[in-house]
Amino acid sequence: MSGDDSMIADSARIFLSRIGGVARARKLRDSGMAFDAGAWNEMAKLGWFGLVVPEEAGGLGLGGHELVALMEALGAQLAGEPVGESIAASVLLSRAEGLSSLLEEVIAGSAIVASVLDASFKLAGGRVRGASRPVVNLAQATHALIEITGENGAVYVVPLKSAGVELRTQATVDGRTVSELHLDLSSEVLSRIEMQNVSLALGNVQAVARLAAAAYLVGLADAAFAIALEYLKTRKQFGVAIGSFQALQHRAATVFVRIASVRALISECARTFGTERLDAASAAAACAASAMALQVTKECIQFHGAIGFADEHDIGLYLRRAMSTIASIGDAGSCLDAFSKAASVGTEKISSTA
Amino acid sequence: MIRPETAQETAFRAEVRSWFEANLQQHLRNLTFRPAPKESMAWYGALYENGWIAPHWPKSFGGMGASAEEQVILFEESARIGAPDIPTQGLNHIGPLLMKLGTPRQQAFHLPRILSGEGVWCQGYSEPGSGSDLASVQTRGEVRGGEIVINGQKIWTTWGHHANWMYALVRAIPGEKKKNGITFVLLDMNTKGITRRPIRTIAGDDEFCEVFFDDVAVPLSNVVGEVDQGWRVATSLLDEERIRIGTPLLPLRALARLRAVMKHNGLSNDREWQRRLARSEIAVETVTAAYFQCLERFETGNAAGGESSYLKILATEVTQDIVDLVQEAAGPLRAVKVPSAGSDARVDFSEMYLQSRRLSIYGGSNEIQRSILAAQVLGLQGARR
Repeated sequence: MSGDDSMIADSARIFLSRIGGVARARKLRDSGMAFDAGAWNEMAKLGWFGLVVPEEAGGLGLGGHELVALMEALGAQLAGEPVGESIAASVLLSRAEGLSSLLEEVIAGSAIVASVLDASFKLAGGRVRGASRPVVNLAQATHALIEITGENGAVYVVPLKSAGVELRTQATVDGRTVSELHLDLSSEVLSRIEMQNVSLALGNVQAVARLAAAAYLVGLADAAFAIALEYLKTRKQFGVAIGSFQALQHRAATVFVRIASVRALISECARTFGTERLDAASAAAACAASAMALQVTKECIQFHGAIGFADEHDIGLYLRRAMSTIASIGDAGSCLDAFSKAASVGTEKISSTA
Repeated sequence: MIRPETAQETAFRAEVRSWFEANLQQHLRNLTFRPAPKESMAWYGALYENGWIAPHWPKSFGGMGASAEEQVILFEESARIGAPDIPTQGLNHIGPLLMKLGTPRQQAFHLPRILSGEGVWCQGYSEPGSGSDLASVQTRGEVRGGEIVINGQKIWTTWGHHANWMYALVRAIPGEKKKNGITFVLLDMNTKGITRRPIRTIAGDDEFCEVFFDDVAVPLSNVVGEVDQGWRVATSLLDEERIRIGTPLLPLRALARLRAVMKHNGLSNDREWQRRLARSEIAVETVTAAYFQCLERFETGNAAGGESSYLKILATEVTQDIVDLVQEAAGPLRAVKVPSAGSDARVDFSEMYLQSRRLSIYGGSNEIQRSILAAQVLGLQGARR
């Protein structure tokens, strides 16, 4: 890291520690609230939701490396608020016509726009109908970005307080929620997004969300490993630190390799921010980070032995948060398909896939 | 690579691709993992003539002085066209070591010969009793007047029977333990008293050999560094050497083979296999990313000691994972040694799979690398076995 990204990382780390760090994630989970409105407003004041929005549109005008630094810091302290989702939506809102007031609200934290792209919504006879697949953190959103397919296909913003909007919400293992969006409402409630090449812009929203989640998972895995490493150095059995056993040393080394290599991949991905390559790169990052985070957090539980299986120990929170984060970026198959598709087409083809 | 290319890099890639197309003869493409010396050295010579044999060497020593990106472009294009593997002991190991620690005379004599391929090198480290425990080498190197006289045996010497030079670790006083008392010496393989016996590998090639030394006299001017200070010499470039083992070249080659086998067996349009291929491509991109990062961290002096071990583990295990898929895609043909004629492109089912067993053994086994990571990077002390 150098410059802006390390500044962002430092200020995020300090802020998140101040508001309670991992203990806050546990408290939120126990309270069933999943979302800390006070913290959210403070995050807005730090400018996070406008991180990649151009300065002339009211944002900080930063790029991929800063996004990765911020998301890693959030993952490290298990902050569960939909920061990545908000940043992803801001990418589209900042380019669309006539949505500057919604963008301002997103940057201010008073609106949260979820991207509900894995869905089939149809417009017929003046009504919009359909349902989405489950979306993590949708319950906190005030608006949804949806795509209507078929005739008159376009991208719309749906205010989620409207009549005819139903969320079917379930709790996740880490205190977040996952909701299906069911719509049966008049199309007049929706605002159509006017912009050139809207499907490209939607792809970009998804790519930014994938990069954000991948970075979050790296921060999460790294923090879990730091706890496990400390445990390996202090926990004694047979009169010695368990970290002196070669069987555990080698597994720890494997964990290190997994985290370090995926972090390197994500740093490459950050370089593609704002280029056509971001689609393929972010799909790669999401696939790699998902598999890595599960492997690492499971290993970290194993390193702890029985206490790792106990809810009272924090180490299990990391696996559970990894699960809901992975759920937010789609299944492995769809990420792999997205990578294959994006990597092998267009002028920005990725050479190793040729 | 995922990293966006500059216009200059894109132009370089195009230049490499068309030059490879024009200069790599068909019969040299898609050979086995380790082609015969004749084929390998033909390609080596062509790269030398074109100035591309030593991308990572500085220009001052006759190298290309290539950027990390240009190096990766060369790897990707080599794998893409199926270029033959070339010997690397000179280019990646003794060459850089001599640049750092060799005398001006040693540099002036050996470096140009490494570049031209006239000097083909092997590494005399392992012995029957010294594998992972390299500091226990017992081959004797006794100073007598202006010479060092060598007696003993080396083994698992890759290309030892094709090489004309060896760099070796020998010990002045036999029985003495460990790191003091080791001398790093350069040997002309045609010196009197050297006997070589090839050893066949599980992949069916005479890939490595045993080397016996019977009163082999080498001038003291062939010692690198000081007599008895050879351990420091041998380990001074370990990080750089592991980075060279951890390049994306091997995983890229494995990927090319996976694509070829999928195509041959009609799996290219199978969705499940496309996903497996995508997963492998992403794994290779991860190696490339890690390679960039390691080079950058070493160049800027930000690397932790032992960090390069991670690259060796990563690149070799990604390669092995991909060749596991090659085997699976091969199906009932998985055990076929040399595919029968019929298609113009050579398809490998089993060769790289067998060859790849060595990747996690050579250059310090992956278990040794994990122990290094644990001790030096993770701070886990006191290895208990």
